[in-house]
Amino acid sequence: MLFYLFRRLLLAISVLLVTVTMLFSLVFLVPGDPASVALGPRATQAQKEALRQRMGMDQPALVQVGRFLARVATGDLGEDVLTHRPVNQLVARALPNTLVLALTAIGWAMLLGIPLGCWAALRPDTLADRVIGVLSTSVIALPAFVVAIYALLVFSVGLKWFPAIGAGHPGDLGSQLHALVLPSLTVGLSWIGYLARLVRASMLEVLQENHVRTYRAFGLSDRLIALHYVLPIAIVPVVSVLGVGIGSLLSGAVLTEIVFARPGLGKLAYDSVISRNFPVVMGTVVVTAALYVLANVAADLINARLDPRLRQGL
Amino acid sequence: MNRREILKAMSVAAVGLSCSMVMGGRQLAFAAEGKVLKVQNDQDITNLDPALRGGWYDEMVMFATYAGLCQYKAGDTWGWQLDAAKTLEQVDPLTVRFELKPGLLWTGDFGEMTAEDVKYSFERFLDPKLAAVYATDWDALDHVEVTGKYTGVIHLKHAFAPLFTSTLPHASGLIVCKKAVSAAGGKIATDPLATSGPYRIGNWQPRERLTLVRNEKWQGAKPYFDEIQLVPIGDLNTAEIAFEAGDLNMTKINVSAIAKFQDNAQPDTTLTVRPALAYTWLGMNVEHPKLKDVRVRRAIQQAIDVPGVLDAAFGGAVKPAFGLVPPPLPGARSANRYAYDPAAAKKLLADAGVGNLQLRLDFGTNTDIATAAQVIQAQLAQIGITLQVNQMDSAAFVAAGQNAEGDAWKDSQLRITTFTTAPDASWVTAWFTCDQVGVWNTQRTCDKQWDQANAAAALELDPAKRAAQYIKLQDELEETGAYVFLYHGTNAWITPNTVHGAWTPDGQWPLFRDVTGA
Repeated sequence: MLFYLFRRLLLAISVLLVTVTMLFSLVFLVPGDPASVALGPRATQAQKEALRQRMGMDQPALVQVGRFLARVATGDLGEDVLTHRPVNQLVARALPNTLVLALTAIGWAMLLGIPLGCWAALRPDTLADRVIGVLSTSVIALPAFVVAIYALLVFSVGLKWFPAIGAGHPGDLGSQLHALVLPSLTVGLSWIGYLARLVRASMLEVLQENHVRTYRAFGLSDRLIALHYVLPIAIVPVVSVLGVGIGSLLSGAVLTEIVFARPGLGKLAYDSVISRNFPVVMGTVVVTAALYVLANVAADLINARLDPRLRQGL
Repeated sequence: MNRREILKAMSVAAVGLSCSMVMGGRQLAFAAEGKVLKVQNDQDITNLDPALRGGWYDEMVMFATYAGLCQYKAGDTWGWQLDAAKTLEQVDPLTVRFELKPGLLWTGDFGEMTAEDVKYSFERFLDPKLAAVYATDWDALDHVEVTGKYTGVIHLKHAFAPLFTSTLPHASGLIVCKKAVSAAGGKIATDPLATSGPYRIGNWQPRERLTLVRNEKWQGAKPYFDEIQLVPIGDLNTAEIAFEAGDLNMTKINVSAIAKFQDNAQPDTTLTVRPALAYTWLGMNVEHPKLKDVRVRRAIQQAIDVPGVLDAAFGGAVKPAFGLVPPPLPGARSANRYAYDPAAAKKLLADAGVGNLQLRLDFGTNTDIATAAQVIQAQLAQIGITLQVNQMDSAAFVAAGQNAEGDAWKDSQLRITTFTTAPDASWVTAWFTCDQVGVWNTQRTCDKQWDQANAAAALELDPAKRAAQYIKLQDELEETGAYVFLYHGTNAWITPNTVHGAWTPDGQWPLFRDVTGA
């Protein structure tokens, strides 16, 4: 297991290095001078040059990559060129909002998607199964930004049940949870459908296996068999899917944060790309990539623990 | 640990992590009591130094927190009123005397505002170490002479007409605290260090909310609101939804949303529309081989029916422009020299021997301009020009016209650009000189005589003569064929009927000290 963990971490570091390199390439390819954007039209050429120098953009690309990696290794993500605040601080403020959003979205998906999948699997080819199937597929097909806009119009503007913007007031847990409901449902909605379909298919497969027939032969109730013997096996693929899907959840969170003006990592990255605030862009992407990689490592380790055969897979 | 235990542990960890992170944000109790105004800001503050400020998103905070010798009046017409100064008098073109009101206190322990603070505030713009982005506002400054604790004289090197229109009443005229700023090494960033206006910064959660609270030391007229919360929301559609949901009390809206609130269509909402100090034009790169012939450029000028374009894009909410200088300012034109005339345009193309002309029109991310571009595409098709419409990311659009960004400018043909301006015509024409070719002058028109005339206009103190000079400068730009003046635009704001808003005459930013309850 330790050797497996070591190999997985090595792979994770490689993925991070490739991501950072690709990111730097993109920064150089994207047109738009960060100094012009930051300083505005009144700035002289000398002032722009000075800012470029301060950002290290006068150095060759390789030198910049090297310096950035060296800083990241010491936990320093650089400085926001507009406000001169450390990027670490900006990321540290935004990260909890995004993580809470993603985790709550997963929570909604598990809370609603798994029971729906079980319900449908225990009643295959009935009307209930078909209705759940149609609904699940429909919510998977709905783009998150469309859901976000309609959720705002219906629940914030129309019914005024939930706030339209922000992450709630600091220190006020009720307000923060209140502000979390619509964005998390928006991000999690397609995952509810996805998990419902996945759990249904997985349960139907497990229900056909010999040990389930044995339980039935022993006279155990369908409910007991489903909840205690089938679901724990059928749910294993969900862990893998959630591990891989964390990237998709984070990208869903980006769009949602923009629509709901929620101060998370996604909005931070978006605002920084628009203003060509490259140190912040790089800081947010590195942290997001690290999160994605770590989520995958965690999912792999859990799966390896659940199914020892997987430890041989890498 | 078995599978079931792992799954249980994961669930508990996820719930626990969510709760701890939500609760981890506990910092300061939110002041929900009192009169609170929640306002949309186009972006978060970036720099509150008068010499290095970012833009109007900083300036709206600075006008509420700093004091200047004078400040703009709220309302429909441009003008200034005394602020920290008891008297402010231009003795001659090179001399301005001022006397401060006694007893104006800085926040913190920095004591009283004196004439030394005024001297320090204005002269630091010329300090090469500071590299002030707005140094040109004080280009004419020779020095400030301190004649008493509260009195002083501003000495200019040469006459400077914008002094009382876009320098003293604007953010470059705000007074900073010499003691506080010197102690901080001469630079101010997002912490203004010490202020003397009616509000001070209470709490800043970067990119989330900036809260202004009453300055207890302020001795002027007490502002109506106890607290002003500025929420950075760049997308005006989101801001409009937040207003309708009750999360904001004051927000700018898109021009295309004006119709929704016009004629009391929303009885609880007040719509305020102000003519923007902005100018949007279609420019042509005169160095591009397809556009070198002035007859081709003139044909394009005369083939575009600007009122038709604006009707399609804005449904009548925006009026056509007849030049670059926006109408409230002296020097605005009232007519074009070359009117819409597609027949003349066709003839010009024929005379130039140009047929089957294919051009590209670039512009930044703006849905209104995208609509306008499509109408222009259809109008140019009427005279046989095929136009490719090319919407770009705004920063990439700017870069595509600038020499410093490589050779992309060589391929630049037609561009629709919008600039905003300070309330003085000199800041409108400043970007069309030879020095600005390849920087902000993306038409690349260059005429040394025009540059000299432009410089002379900034020195002219007679308003009528000055206005005539700027009209002539715009006539000459139109003669180059490289400019199609489109519109000046509007700034539209909505507030609930319970809030009586106050803005600069162009509606670019609210003047919070004058905002009251209705």
